[in-house]
Amino acid sequence: MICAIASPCSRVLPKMSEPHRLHPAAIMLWTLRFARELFIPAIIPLGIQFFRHGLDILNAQTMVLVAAGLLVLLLASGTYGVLAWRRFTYRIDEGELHVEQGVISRNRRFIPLERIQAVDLSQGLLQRLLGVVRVQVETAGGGRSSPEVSLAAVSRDDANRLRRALAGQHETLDERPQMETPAPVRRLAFADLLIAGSTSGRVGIALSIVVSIIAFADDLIPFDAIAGQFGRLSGFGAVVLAALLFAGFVWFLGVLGTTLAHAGFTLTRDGDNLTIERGLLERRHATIPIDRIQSIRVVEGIVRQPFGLVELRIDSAGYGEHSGESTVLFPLLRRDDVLPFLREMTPALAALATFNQLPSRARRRYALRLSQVGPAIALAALPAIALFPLGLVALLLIPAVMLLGLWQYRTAGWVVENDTLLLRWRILSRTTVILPRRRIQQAESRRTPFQRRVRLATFAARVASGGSGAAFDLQHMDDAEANRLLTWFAAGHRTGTTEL
Amino acid sequence: MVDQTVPGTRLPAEPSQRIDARALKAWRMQGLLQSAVIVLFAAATGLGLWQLGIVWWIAAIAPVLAVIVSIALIWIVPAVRWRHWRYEVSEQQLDLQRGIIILTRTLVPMVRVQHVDTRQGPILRRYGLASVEISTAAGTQEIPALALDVADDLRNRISLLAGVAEDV
Repeated sequence: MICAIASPCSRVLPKMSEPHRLHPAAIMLWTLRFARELFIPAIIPLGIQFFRHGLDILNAQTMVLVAAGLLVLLLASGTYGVLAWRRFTYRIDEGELHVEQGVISRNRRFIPLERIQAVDLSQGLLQRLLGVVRVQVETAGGGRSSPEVSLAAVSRDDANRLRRALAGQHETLDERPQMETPAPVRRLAFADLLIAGSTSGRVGIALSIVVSIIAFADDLIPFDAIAGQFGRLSGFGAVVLAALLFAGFVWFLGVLGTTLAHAGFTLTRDGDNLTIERGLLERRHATIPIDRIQSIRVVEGIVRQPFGLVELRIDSAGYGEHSGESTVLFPLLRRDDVLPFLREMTPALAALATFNQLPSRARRRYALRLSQVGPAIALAALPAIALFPLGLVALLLIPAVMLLGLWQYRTAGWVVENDTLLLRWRILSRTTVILPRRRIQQAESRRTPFQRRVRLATFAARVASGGSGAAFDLQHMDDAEANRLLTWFAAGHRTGTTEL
Repeated sequence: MVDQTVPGTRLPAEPSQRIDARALKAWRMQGLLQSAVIVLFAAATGLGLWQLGIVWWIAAIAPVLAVIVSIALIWIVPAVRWRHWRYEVSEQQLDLQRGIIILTRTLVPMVRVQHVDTRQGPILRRYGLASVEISTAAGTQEIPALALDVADDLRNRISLLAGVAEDV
């Protein structure tokens, strides 16, 4: 098996405390990666020659040179791959994960197991072909953009053993017997997968980008020439048609992207851990300790809300690519299923009670939100002036944005249930965030001069998430109520009981 | 104005402590240095435009703006900032209020504090001041410009109070 090849683990099932090498497939992965990095700089001289001499460079001499170059490239990459593999070892010893790596500069990293926030197993296309998995270890407050430790290729068995050893911290502490009841499992049905894809918020974002590109690329793309293919359409009609076709294409891409990413989405609760498996081309496997979950977001996309469909996301300390980025907990649920679902998957949670609405004097502030009305005016002004009579239609954008503001006002609300704060707001999607009091790290109330005049305030709660935390704002609350929320937050820590 | 639902948890209208009076001088010095750079660039731009034969009042826009910004940076901003800055450190929490235009009130429970630093840049050192930085798992708060011994005391006190550490 693999262990027979890798020298330090030639004995049967070596202990985790002895240095392990990666699966030899890592040599190939690293070779390819290094070759790819070298390839572009290597091809530049060839490109220059081509520009100078055109097809004349296609002679025997250059062929030999190119072949020799490729050979050197492969040799160098291969050597690098082997060296990188030989130098890379990992082991778990005395409650720490030790990783040593580096070809030119050696790097040693020790990570205490209790600092580990999540262990991800994933398979790219290459890993699938080679039958290995990638293991990524995340810690709180680690690097912002990359996981703390990435093991490029580990055999399935080793990966599972490693994951148990890394995440097993909790089990070894309380030594409780394995639960007999089967772990709750939730799978995304295929029909739901398609619904999730076709209603995913990404479509909206992608659409708006495409529409704005079209608006600006009008001169660059020969729409009129394309329109010729569709018969005698006017220039304007052609633009609309092309935009629609393009929008359809982008929508399709969105469906495809979400479908591929969420195919076979399975969420399992295994004692103190949640395990998420998903993905078609790239199979991902994430383990998140439940006690590291900081907050839960219920997101109702603008297309999904009328159908009572929601997406669940979580913020987890030290998890997510960037700070404030959340992880999908489950891509598609009926709204009525949310509470039973959360009760099954996470510690008991308060009911979604009736939300306190914002005071009526906040309505004006929402309708005239500078952050929305400002850009709307700026966007509408250009076409209104440039295409004078017809362009005035663009001004409709301004009342539309004001209506959106009123909708946001009606959506916004908050409620305190025992030891949990729920905030709800809308940008386009309606988002409800569930914040256990003991997870809130900081809370604040902000008041602009306008807000001070009418006794309003913006309340914000920060939780740990990714590198430096996520903030949830509720704009234009009654300022006395914002103070009450601050008091409630502070009170949770006065009694001396920090545990729930 | 605050609804007293839970006895003994009423939040004071404002945190009690002001920051050191010397902060004003330190911030003015900081503003002076920033303004010097801004004015220099603006003057160069204005002069350049004038040399290129642009009408004088257009060439003058950048320098005039620079002077207005400088006045704000040296006199107005430090004064308003100092007037608004208040803090209070109790056994349970840090209570901070600050802002120039937007007033922000922040509560940080002691049990959430991960570490505390004091910092002293060259300007603060000249005035015998230091700032205290308080980090939680969700970001950092700073109390700027306290007298050095006050800052050291505060740092030690917070780290003692936060010592009952609890992980994320």
